[in-house]
Amino acid sequence: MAKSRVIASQARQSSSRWLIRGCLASLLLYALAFGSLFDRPLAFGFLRAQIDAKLEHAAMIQEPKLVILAGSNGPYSHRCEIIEPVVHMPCLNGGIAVGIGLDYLFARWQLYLHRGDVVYMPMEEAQYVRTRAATAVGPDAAIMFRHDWRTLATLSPDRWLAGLFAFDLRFALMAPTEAVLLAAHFHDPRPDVTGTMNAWGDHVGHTAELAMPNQATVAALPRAHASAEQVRAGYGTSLIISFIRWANANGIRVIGGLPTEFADHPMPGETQEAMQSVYLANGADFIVLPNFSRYPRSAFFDSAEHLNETWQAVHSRLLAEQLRWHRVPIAAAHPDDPTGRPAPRNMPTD
Amino acid sequence: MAIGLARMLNVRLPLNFASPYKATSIADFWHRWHITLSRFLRDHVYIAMGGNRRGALRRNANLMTTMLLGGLWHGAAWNFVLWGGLHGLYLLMGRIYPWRLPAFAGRTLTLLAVLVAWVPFRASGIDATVAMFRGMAGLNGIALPQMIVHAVPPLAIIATAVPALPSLGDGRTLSFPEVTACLALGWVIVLALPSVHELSQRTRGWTLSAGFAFTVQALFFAPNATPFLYFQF
Repeated sequence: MAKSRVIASQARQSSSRWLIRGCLASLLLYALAFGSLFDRPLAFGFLRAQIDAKLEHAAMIQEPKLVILAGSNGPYSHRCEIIEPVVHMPCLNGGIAVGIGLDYLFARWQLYLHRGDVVYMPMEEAQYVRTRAATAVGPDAAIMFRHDWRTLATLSPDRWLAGLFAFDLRFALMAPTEAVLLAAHFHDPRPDVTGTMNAWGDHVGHTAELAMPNQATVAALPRAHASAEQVRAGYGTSLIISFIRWANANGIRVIGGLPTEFADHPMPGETQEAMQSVYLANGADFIVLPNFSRYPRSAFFDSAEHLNETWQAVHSRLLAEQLRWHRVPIAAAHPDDPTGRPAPRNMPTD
Repeated sequence: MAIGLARMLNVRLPLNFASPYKATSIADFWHRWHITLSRFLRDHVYIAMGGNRRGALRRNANLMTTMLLGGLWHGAAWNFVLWGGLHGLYLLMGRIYPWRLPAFAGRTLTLLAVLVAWVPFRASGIDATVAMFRGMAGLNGIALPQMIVHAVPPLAIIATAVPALPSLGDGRTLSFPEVTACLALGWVIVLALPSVHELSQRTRGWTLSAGFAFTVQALFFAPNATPFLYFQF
């Protein structure tokens, strides 16, 4: 009896050990497979290529520059190509997509921002209120774990763990599918349907004509807004504040702005005030355009963050006029500025 | 999890789900789906009302009443009553027309009937149920992401191109085939592979430990994971 109990106990222990080893092997295989083998060149490679192209361009600009940092609202609704000649400053549209974590976005751009630069941030509401957990597992987590360990190492340890576990079954299914599509020279329909990126990092070619099939959907899109409290307490907000403080300490001027939105469903006044105070209370500026960046639904391409190309130009001209007075122009850094412009607030004194 | 936690307290819970989607008839489905509730309803409602001992008419009435009460057990709302009523109707039809279909046809028909009945079960109300049925019947047409239609132009004959399908991930470009592939994989697992209870202990151990990393991912790092449906009951 005692002997059989001992045998049963040994069998249980052996089974437990075997299960633990199996689980550890599963983790190891998972890390190896997603860290070095599986990739999604079409879905995430597209984003990575855009980020890298924009940063490469930024690295080539030696003089003070204007950088627009946001989600896809940045490139779709703003056009550096139009803003640049008005503000007399090289302009670069650095926004990618709303799902890209702000900590990742800032970590990448901090290496390319220098004293005298101006950063304009028309962040989307979702970027202020995004939770820490959601930020940790965005597409950038997979991009970093697979391709950019250097940036991952600069972020908090919870991002390392989330980076490791950023890959789900969908990723495992789609990685080989995308590899096959790429090997078969799959014609990516995105440029034909939504447009492409120009040398300034702007999204271009999203014409009103291409937007026509989207109009019925855009007209029916529901719109929910974040509350002031959500903006104030948002994890994204804390990341923006940290970035502003870093920028202030490094002689970089930050200017906040409102994202574009439907004129028929604007964000509540309290939300807008909360958004503004994130910048103003931390030594940055904030631009509110006369139209509050609100446009009729027919001006949008496929969502409230994406103006079509015609209205992107309209919005950019309006903004450029305002940015002209808020930027840190090289000339205005001199006390006898011949243009007679008012000196911007928080202007670096070097 | 419930089974594992109960085992830690030396309680062995009875099997509650036995691959219900592999059922070849609705009666078979109720032998596999929420087995403990089915048994309770059978023993304490259906048999208590007389079961099949008082003629076909009374049996049918007892069956329908039992299923309607089974629906109400899930929640005091008309959509649950409708769900129970639909299953009652299916069972009655199975009794009235006891056709012996080939296994594949029986399984397909049963699955279709069960999926149709899930609509009122999950919808927020009767209006949403009707809207969903209209969509399932194709009365609203077919919508596909614009990029998919652009990549495969013949699809434009049957589908309207839209910028996004918000219910399918972002539904823009790759999330549509992504969700489709995941659904296909899910159905293969559900319909073609043996259930956990049918596996040997060794195979079960292998399967569970092989998927451990994905389990951790889904439990702690999946931003859009929805809680297990039955947590609400």
